[in-house]
Amino acid sequence: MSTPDNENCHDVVTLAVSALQQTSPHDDAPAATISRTIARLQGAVEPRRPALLGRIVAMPWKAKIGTFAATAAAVALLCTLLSPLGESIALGQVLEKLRSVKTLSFVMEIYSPVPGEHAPPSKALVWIVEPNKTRLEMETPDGSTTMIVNDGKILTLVPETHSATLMSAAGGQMDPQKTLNELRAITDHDARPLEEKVMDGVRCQGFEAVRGSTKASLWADARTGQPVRIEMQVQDGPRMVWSNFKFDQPFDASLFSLEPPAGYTLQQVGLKESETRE
Amino acid sequence: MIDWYELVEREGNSVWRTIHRLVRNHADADECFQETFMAAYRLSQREKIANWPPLLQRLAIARAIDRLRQRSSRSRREDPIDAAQAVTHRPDASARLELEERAQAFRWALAQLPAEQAELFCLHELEGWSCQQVGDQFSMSTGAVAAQLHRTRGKLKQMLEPKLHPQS
Repeated sequence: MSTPDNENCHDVVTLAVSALQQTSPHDDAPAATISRTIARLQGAVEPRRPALLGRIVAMPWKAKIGTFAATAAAVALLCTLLSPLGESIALGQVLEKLRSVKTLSFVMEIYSPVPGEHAPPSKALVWIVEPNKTRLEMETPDGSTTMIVNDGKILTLVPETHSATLMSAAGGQMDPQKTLNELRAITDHDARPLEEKVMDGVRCQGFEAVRGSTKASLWADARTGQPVRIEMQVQDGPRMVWSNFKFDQPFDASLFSLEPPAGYTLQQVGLKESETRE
Repeated sequence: MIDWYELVEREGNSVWRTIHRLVRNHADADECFQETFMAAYRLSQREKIANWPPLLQRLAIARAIDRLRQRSSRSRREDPIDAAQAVTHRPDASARLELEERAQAFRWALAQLPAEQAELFCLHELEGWSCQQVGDQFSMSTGAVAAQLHRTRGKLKQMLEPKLHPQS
């Protein structure tokens, strides 16, 4: 039945289907979603154990002894594999979370490097979008500062004076993304397991790694491997603590804009003419 | 013995894209993703699964349609589309807006259809399944699938035309 009306029907529906396809995101499943799904599946599979025990109870004695011996051997093997370290998750799992993340936000606390000084830490909220965007909102006793790193440039905003400075990000400015990349580069050779701890009600497995002049402790959910807290101590430098991680959450692109807010006076430092406009 | 870790790793991206395209909201997509694999797990307890990808795609579509229907029944005027997604692809602002409007109208119309009709339509039109493949999954003949698709198009047209007013 090919009537004009029918053709029109195909047009409007095809247009709508095409619009849905064109506006579809092509992203991969977030690592956090995958890990939550696997955790739920593991939770679903495990309650089946009583049925297995029931079957063992119903076995003849010879089979029972055989099963018991095989189980004991398996447990012994497992203990041998795990006993030197004692962790319930591997460091690789934790690092994989850090390596695969596409967006990350966390709270960063920086403690004074001066021995004996017990001033409250400076606190910052950090947003990272791979591969090259960072936003850091820091509160210090002197006031607040926002730093935005985007595409090789860094914009510093000081709300108190309504001043903005745009400069090249090259040259060692404090960028949590660099620190994150250093953490990602940790290998099994750099690390040793720590005792388990409960943090915010979560059983956490710790690992301690030393790279160069920095000692890092990574604490991750012992069940899922999701990082919970990362502590870093630079020799003769500040101590940093990262916590409240949120993995692969969508962030508004305006968070990383290098355009200063209205009313700010912009000063550009050391940028070539071609770099001054995005 | 099913290696669920391996299955989620292998099929996860495809399942995610299927869901995210329809629900277009990160939190909803996250829940639908988990529910898809939990449904697959429950199904695997009842029967042997020979071919995982089409089953997971069908389950994913069903979960996503359910979510659209829930949203629709809550009479939300606008879906909470992720801000990050909204700025991802930007041919130009007005064309983008028009596409978003059409896509949004399509989601709304899908939510008004009976669930199975919407699933069948999505598998054919969005996932590119043939009528034969759809028929195999829904235990229908190819002819019945084609007829169903035709009826669904007609219903969608009735719902979409007043909203989109295409210039034809």
